[in-house]
Amino acid sequence: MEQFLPFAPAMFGVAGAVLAMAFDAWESRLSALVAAVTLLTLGALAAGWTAMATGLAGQVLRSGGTFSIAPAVCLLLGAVALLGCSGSLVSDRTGSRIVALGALTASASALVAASADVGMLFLSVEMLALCGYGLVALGGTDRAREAAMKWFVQGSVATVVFVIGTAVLLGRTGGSMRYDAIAKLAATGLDGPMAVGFVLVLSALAFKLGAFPLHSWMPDAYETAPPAAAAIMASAGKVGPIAATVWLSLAVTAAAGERLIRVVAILAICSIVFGNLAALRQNSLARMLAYSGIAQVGYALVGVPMGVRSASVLVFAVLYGLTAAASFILVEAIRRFDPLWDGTIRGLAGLSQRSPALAASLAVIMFSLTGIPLTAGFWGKFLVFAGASVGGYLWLAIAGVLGSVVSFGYYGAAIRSAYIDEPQEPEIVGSVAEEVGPRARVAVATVSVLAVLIVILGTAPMVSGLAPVLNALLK
Amino acid sequence: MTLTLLALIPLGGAALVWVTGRFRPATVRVAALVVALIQLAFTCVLAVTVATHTPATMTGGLTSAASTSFWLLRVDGLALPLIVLTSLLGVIAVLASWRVELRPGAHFALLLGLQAAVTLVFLADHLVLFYAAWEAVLIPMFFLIGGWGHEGRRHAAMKFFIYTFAGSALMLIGLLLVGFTTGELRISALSSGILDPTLRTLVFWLLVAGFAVKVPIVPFHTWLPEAHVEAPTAGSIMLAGVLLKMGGYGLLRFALPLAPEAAHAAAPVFATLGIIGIVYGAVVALAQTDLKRLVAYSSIAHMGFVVLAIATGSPLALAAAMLVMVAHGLTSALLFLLVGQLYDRTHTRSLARLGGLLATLPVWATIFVFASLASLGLPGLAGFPGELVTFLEGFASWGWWMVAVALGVVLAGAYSLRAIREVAQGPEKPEWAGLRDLDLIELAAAVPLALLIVVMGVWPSVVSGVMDPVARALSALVGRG
Repeated sequence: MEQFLPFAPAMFGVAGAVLAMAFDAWESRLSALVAAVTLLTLGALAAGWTAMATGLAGQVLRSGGTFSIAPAVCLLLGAVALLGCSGSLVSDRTGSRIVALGALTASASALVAASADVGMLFLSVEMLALCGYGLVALGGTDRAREAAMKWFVQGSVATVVFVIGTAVLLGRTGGSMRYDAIAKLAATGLDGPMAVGFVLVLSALAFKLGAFPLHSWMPDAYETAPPAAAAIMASAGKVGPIAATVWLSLAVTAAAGERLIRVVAILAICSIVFGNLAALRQNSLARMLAYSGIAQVGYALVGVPMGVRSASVLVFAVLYGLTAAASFILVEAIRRFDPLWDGTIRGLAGLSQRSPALAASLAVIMFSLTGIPLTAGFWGKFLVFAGASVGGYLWLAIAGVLGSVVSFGYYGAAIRSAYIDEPQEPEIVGSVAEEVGPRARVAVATVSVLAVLIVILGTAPMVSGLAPVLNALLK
Repeated sequence: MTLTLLALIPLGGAALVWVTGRFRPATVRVAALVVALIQLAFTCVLAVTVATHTPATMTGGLTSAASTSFWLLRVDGLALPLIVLTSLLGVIAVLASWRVELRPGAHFALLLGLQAAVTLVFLADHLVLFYAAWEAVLIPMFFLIGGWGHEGRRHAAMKFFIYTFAGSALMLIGLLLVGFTTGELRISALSSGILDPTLRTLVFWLLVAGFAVKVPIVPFHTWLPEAHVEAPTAGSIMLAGVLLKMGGYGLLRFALPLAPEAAHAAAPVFATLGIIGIVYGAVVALAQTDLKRLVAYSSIAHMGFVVLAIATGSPLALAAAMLVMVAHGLTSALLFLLVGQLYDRTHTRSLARLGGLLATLPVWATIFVFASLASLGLPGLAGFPGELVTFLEGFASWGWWMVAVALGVVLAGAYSLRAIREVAQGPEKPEWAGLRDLDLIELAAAVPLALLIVVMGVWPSVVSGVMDPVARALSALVGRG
């Protein structure tokens, strides 16, 4: 019985999805939403509890120990994203299906994060991918279906790569696919097949993360997917694979030596350069967030080669996940608040006068994504770059901070639009604000709460210090 | 606790003012002024305490209790003059924006928030807190330029943010290397020997990247003219008055003590760049047709003296660096204040359109002539002692290269006198006939600055005396004591 306990958190999420499907049959979208959010929250609590408890480790899932909060965060972010986008989820015909798939995505990502076995990792990554294709297709437009199809085709290739990689690793370890078995074998020396298998698995994960050059599905998918779906995929859906990359890399870092890890470093730097440059060129807010997500994955990968210090990546992933969820809920909130908004960054002009709360949240979220102090995003980047600078990857850290500087070119442009630019058609300002319904209020409230949370997480360590995290890093 | 209050008064004040702005916009400015005055009074009390009761050495000063928190504060002779300057200009900036009608609550809240962040930069005794405060300065300044600036504010706000962020991002890597290779994050514990010798040159240049942009050292100055010109008056005052000093402070606080050998080796480079800055700033200022741009470029020249003094590195020169910083803080603040007051009346800053203001606006023009003379370094006013000592000490170290500095000083005279001639003198212009002269609030902002400029001119040791122990210690470190 004990060995099933690590599965419990994700099972809450799955139960939420099942309930949502059941309520969908009754056309009761509100009940579906409430059921999913409640069960995801319960799942997050359960995951938090298992993270505290020790001695629960199952065969294929890890639990307990420092930095094992990633699964809890995946589930919680799923709940938050669904809550924040509840306006469209309750009113749209397909709402319950988005809720169900969203809950499944969060659960799958939690399993990805908790995996301690390559086979388990494969299954959960595939579950995550399948939900993703469906979520994008639920966008309903032709572009959304095309994006889903594109992702599906590319994802199939990634699946094949994953299968081959797993098979090679399986053949080499002679049966066990647990990370520690791989680590034990790698410790005796990393031979050719083993390295190939590892690189193949890593490539599949990199595809899932959207690291350059395996990113091309991401902008279309995030832009055309329903906002709730994008919020879940960009936050919960990223935290899991990043965590898996860290754990898997840790298994081989000890013995893998420079060559293997250099692959990750190159992926990181390419993602940072490409993501930032591409995001600079975007007009659409959602698309800019998608491209910048490629750069953010790059920052996360900066920390992966750092061995023990790579724990900092998990902190980064959690904080980034929080901010990314907030950013896509923000897109939803602005859309609902201002139905005439064309989705562009330019179109945000005058937002600070129409909705001070939304504009302030936007500023906080963008500063956090840039990694400016006083916001949560700063600590993630701080820890990752600190690990890289002292861990022998100074050039990666420098690339990372310079990428962050460039990123203010587009993140800052959104703040500039909201605060500095004059609205082009001032006459619509008054009329729109009156139409704000209660559903926009939920989105606005969620974003505001998240923004406050981002600031609290950003400022609290100034007073409390970060002793446990820093101690783990300074080791 | 007392030190914490120094950061919390303006921060709490910002929140208070912002809330007030939502309910009673008319009283916001009074609230902001009260907060700024309380902060100034508190700073003065603290300054007297520190200057008289504690040895203001590099490792001494008033320090908060040790803990694992990042919230560690300290005041020593290096930080004290700049903290006092910040509190003083905080009051001036509030007075300078007395007539802001556009969202006054947000404006004054940002000003006080900016003051809190800058004060924290000088107070911080923890690397992480220092960096956080350093970057936090950008946020209110970005909104001040963008929200209340002039025509080009849209572009200027972004340029200011990205340029200085680029420098400070590299500085962050330098600080991370310091903190995480030595395991010591407390600034006062970072003595010269703590850093691995192989890392020192690298760390030095990474740190300098951040400070050089902030000072700014030519050729990293290109953000400055635009930001200064486009910023609202209060923003320009804070930018020129205290934000530039963060760069000089950083060089003295981190770059020199952590990597004295690298600083020693790089001194010729810095001296050259300082001299180039002095001449270049003056030449370009001479060519300006916009009064505010002229003042902005003169800042580059004056900060060139700071760079030259730091490169020279003798105890006197380092004390002179502080003198120049404080003096420039006072004179540039006064000049930007006056330019802002003029712009409020004429809505132009074009030298060609101005003229004859001694007749039209006698009080304003008198103070303007005074400020211009202070800026050119007239003996008896604030700019003179620091620049003279820099020149003399520089002559001892760099010999005849100081001729170029002398040229820069002559050019400074040229652009200052040109400004006086074009703006204050000449025949009265009918266009400006009906303008009213300075009122009480405007005088209340300008006169204290003018008085302090005289005080610093005749009694420079009020600043250099506080700085002296630190200057000696630093100078010994870089081998020029």
